[in-house]
Amino acid sequence: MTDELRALLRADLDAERPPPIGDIVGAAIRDGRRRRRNRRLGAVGAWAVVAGALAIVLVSGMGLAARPDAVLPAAGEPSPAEPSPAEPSPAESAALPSVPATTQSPSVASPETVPIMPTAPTAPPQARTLTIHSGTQRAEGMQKKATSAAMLHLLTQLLPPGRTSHFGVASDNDLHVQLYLDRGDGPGMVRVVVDQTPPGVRQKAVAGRPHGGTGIVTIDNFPDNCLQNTVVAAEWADGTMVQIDVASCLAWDGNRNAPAAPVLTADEAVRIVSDPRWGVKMAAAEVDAGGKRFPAVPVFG
Amino acid sequence: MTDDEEFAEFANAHAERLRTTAFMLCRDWHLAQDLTQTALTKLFLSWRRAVQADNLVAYAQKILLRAFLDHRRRRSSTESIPGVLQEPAYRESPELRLTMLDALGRLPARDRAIVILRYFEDYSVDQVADVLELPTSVVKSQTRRSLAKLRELLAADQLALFAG
Repeated sequence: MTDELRALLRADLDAERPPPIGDIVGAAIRDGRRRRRNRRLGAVGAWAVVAGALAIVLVSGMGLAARPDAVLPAAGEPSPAEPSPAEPSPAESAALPSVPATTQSPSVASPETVPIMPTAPTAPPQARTLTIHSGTQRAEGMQKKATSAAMLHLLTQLLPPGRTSHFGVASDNDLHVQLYLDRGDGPGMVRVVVDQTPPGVRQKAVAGRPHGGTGIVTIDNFPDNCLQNTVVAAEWADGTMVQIDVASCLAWDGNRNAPAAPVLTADEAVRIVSDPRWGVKMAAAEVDAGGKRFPAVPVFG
Repeated sequence: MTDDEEFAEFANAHAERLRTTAFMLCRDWHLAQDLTQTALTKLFLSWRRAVQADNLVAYAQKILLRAFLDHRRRRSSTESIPGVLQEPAYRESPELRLTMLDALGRLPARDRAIVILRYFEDYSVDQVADVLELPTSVVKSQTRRSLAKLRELLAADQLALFAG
C-alpha cells in the first residue's frame, strides 16, 4: 500500500510546476546570521541591565549603610550616583580598550557638517521590499579588504548633513560600525553591518555573479527593538549584504538606552545601503583614507 | 570545512526535498518556500546541536513540520471560516477526479503530516511519533482514520491502487 500511495503522490507532484527555488539557502544563512547578531546584542544588553541594576543596588546600599540618615533623592531630582552626561559611563569606559584620546572626543564634524539641517520627518516607515540597480558592476580601482574605519569613512560621506559623533566598532571582528548623527534636533544612532555569504555557501546559480547590477532591499520595522527600530538591508547577487539599523534610542550608557528620534528616513537609509562602494572588499583609497581618519575607534556593545 | 559551509552543503542537498514536503503540507508553493526558508534559518541557528542528531534529515523535517503547524495555528487564530465547503461535483462527474494531493488537503493539518511522513517519507510509526511528539497509539489510530478518509474521497480506479 505504501508504494501505491507514494506513487499517486509522486504522480501528482510530477504534474506540478514549482517556481525556481532561488537562493533559499543563502537567504536562510543571511537571516540566521542577522538573528544571531541580534541575539548577541540582546544578550549584551541584558547583562548590562543586570550589571547596572546590581551596581545601583550596591551603591545605594553602601551609601545608606554608611549614612543611616541618608534619604534617596526624589523622582526627577538628579541622583549623585548618576554620571554626568559629559563623562563616559563606567560600562562604556570599561568597553573602550586602549583608545587614543583624540577618538574619544564627544563630537567630530563630518565633511558635510555645515550647515546642519533639521531632522527629516520620521513617520514609521512601512515594511516593504524594493529592487534596486546599482548602476555599476563593481567599485572601480584597486580593492582591499574592508575595515571598520573604511566603513565609518564611507558612512560619513553618505549620511545627510549633520554632526557625527560616538563612532564605534563591534567587538567581534564583524564589519559592524556605529555612529551618532545630529541633524539639529539632537543625536540619533545608526549602525551599519556588511557581510558576504562565502562562495562555498552560495548556491551555484548565484556564486560567481558580480557585485552590483540588481539587488533587493528590504525595509523592516521593529517597534519593540529600539536599537533596530528600522532595519534596511540590501542584498546583492554576489552574496554581499549591507544593513543599516536606524535606532530610536542611543547606545547603552551604563544605565539605559536613552530614547532618541530615528535620525534617517527609510528612503535615506535605502540610498545609503544601495551605494555600490560597500562590500567586504572596498576601494583601496577608501580603506587607506578610513585608516588615517579613524586610526582607533572605541568598541560598542 | 566551517560550520556555515557544512550547513550550506546539507541545505543545498535537501532544500528541494524539504520544499516538496512543505508543498504537500500546505499546497502552496510560495508558502512552501517561506516555510522551507524559516526551517533552514532555524536549522542554521541550531546547527551545532543539529549535527549531533542521529538523523539530520529527520531533524530538519521536524523543524519544518513545526513551522507548518505553527503557521496553521497562527492563521487559524486570526482567520474566520467563511462557511462550510460544499462537496464538490466530482462524485457526480467521474472526469472531475480528486487528486491525491487534493484529498490530502482535506485532512486536518496534523493528520496530513502523519500520512506524508508515513507514506511519502517512509517513516516508521515510532519516527512519526517522535517528530510530531505524539503517542504511537495516536499515530496508528490517526493513520487508519486518515486512510479511510482518503479512500472515501478518491475515485474507484485510484482506490484500487491502495486497496486493503
